[in-house]
Amino acid sequence: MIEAVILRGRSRVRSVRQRALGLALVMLAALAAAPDSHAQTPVNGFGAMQPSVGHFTVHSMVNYRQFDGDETTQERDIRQVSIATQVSYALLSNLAVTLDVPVLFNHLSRSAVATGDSATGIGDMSLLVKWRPWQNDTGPTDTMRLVLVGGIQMPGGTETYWDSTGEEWNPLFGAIFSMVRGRHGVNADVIYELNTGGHSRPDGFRYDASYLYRLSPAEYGAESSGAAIYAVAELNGLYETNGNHQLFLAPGVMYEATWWTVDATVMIPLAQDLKDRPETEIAFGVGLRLSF
Amino acid sequence: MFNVSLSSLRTAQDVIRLVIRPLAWAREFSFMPSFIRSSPLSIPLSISRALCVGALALTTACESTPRASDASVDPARAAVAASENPPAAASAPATDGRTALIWVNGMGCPLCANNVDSQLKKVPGVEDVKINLGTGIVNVRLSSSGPSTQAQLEQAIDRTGFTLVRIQMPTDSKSAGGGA
Repeated sequence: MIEAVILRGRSRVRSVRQRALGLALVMLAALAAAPDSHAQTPVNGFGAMQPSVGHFTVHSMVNYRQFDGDETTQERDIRQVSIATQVSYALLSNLAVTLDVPVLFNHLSRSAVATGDSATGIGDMSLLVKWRPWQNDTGPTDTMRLVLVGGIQMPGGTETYWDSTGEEWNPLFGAIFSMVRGRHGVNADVIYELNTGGHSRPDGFRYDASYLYRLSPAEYGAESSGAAIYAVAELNGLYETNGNHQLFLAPGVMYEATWWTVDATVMIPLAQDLKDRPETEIAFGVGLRLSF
Repeated sequence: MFNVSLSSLRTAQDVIRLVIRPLAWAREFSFMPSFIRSSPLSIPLSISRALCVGALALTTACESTPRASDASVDPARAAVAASENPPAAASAPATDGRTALIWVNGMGCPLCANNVDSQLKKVPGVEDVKINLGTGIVNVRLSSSGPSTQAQLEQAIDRTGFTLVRIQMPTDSKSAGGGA
């Protein structure tokens, strides 16, 4: 009898956690499903670049997050490690597709109901089509590009512990702008996610802005075109139609060689107003990108 | 590069030359960014160069320690400006009879250069590709037996998504432009 009550309690906790943290994972998946290419693209945000025709880019990023400050009655503290992998493939010189598959490892370190619970699963996946209707390459390294994005966010599967959208397939659409001027790179994007799960789930409006500064080389030359190091500063925001809002400052660094890139970033919360899930205390990630 | 005979070590000129050559070589060899590779080497290299200049003021010994980017090594590279964004239609460097020059805009990073490199190397008749991101000039070494056509090179650049400004084929002094 007691065991049955405990099991039912755990089941309810898990169910509530799935619903409440589902929205957080929408944001996580969106934040993870970021760049797929090159040229001073940000670490967390999107860039209006893509591989060349017939080529792949694979970007895997390991993220660690601490969730705290849960204002709900569950008072949850959660530690999460995620491995987000994005694979991009260029169909045309101005058209590419990107598949994002995040794998999540969650640990409930403390809550009002239970502690020490852990779960692993595939988070919500997304498939994006990036079409570049406009570009203006004004110099050897200078470019301005506008990309329109459309796609779908897919449920990670029935066995997923942290399933954010249930069985719904939510459309995504937005725009990305990138500009490179010498050592300076600027990117901005707005992505809207339309939740089809009914009124209980809000729509999500993601916005990012980033600035990248090429630390080295100061000037590209015949012998210095093989690698570069960038300092990265990003603003990553998410607003939801239920009033939730999160904004992060994400400084980072990126080393780029001819066919691989390593990047690292820390996400520092600037503003968080969440009513139904724990806040992100801090997050950081390290990524590797391969082009082939 | 290190072919220095013992007899040549008799003079201070050759001793200094022996020091400065591997330092210069190491600085140019590394694939790391310039500030990383130059930092540990910049001081001894500067000292060596200063010694070289001082000790060999009456000679031209220092001129015999070329860097990889010097004109004596690659006239085509030396002919282009080293500035970050020179005019795209800069005067064409002299080339031999097998090197095509392609001016490309929008290659903002090493991965971009790799895109261009990989697409061009798929073209039959392309033996080697060297890219200078600073000038946007792509040196394409063509096979002597079955060289690529201009149309093939244009198509390869088009597939990269960057903007083709101009192509100078080795057998054609006239340049042909076109947007990718």
